[in-house]
Amino acid sequence: MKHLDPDLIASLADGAAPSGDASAHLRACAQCRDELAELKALTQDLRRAPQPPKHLQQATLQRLGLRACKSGGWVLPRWAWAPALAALALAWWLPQQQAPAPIQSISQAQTQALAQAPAPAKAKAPAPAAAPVLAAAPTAIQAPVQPSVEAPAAVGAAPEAAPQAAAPLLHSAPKETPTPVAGFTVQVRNNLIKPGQSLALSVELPAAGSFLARVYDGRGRSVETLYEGVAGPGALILHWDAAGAPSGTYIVLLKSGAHSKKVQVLVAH
Amino acid sequence: MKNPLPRPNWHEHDSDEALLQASHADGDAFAVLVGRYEKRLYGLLWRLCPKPDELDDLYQQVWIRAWGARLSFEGRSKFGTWLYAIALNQVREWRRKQKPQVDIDSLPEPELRQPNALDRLLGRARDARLQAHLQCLSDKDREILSLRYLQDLDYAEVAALQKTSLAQVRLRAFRALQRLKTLMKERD
Repeated sequence: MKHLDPDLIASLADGAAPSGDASAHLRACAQCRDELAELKALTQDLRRAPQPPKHLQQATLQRLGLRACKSGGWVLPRWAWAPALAALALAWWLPQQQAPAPIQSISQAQTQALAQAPAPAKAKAPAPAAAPVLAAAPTAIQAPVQPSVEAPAAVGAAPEAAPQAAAPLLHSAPKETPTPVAGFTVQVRNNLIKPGQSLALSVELPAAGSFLARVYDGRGRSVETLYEGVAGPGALILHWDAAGAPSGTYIVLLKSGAHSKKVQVLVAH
Repeated sequence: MKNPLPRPNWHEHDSDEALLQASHADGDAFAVLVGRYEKRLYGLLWRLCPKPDELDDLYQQVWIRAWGARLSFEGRSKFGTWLYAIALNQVREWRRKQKPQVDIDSLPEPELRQPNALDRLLGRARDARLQAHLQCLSDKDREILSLRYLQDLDYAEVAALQKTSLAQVRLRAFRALQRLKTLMKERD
């Protein structure tokens, strides 16, 4: 029996769709079938790579003079820090100069007098960002001032707390650290397989361990084993050439340790 | 009150090419790209650079080159392809500094790191053997296999990076795959 051309077998391992003759030969010839299976396994091995060291990204960014960009949030540009800090300091200091009397003993007349009291002489003209604060001071004793950087908690707060309350607003961002996902993650490139196409799955394994990926047809019969063995940690890309499979719905079962996932695939020839 | 001066959230941008353009004005956009391509680039260099202790430096050199060349990116290719081209050039430059050019057939047989019990438990034995056998292939074959299977590029992109024809790249990939299989079978 004449065997398939080695280049053809390699192309089939690479994901090319077999012709009718090639499919028929593979069904009849165990040697070519084994050769194809070995090459397919080799291509799967070639798709694995180790995780980069944890320090590498930070070290690279430092060398570039960049910083890790946190997702979400906002940060003030540098030119706005000085006026923002000045506004916050003023927002803290003003109420200290015009401290209201206790609520129970203050009369309405005294409240109005306090509200209309001029601003203290030591108040300096602030940067443009804080101008609205001064304009509102005579009538805003009991209302929170509104500088360009919002710091409602700082108004009337203890002096020691005000700078600390400001710092998080200027530098922090809502923390969106990724939630660690138990098990592994899988991404499907295309779960509708048309003629000439093959299924591509990208699996991310957090740790090394036994891993199984098997295709089942609609009746629960095993069609093909895409991967069976030890894998990870890292990325694993799996391909299924569905050229020989009848049209219909298939399930790809992926299992790693105690975790399993199922991917539904539709083959439409 | 909404901050009138929000900074853009670069992580929300899907397009790598748009991020690279934005990095002209904001380095944070480039930092996002560094994070996105960390694993892929490291994996490619790991396949091509057999000296683990020089891998980190090689990795950083690629990003330094990319940072310096970001203004010259014209968008004619994908960002990934552009980055891999820089990586390949960096690897070739590194190889030229390592040793004089010799015929691949005259190189001594590499010593395979014998897997220990821990490696077997962790399943790294096959990876270590594969990595060692890959070094027996020519540089070009190793690059083609890494770009095709590790980076999952199509043959047209690999051909563009190798500056050769599509047919040549495919044939070379298939022959390299066959040779690698033979090597693993003979020596294991």
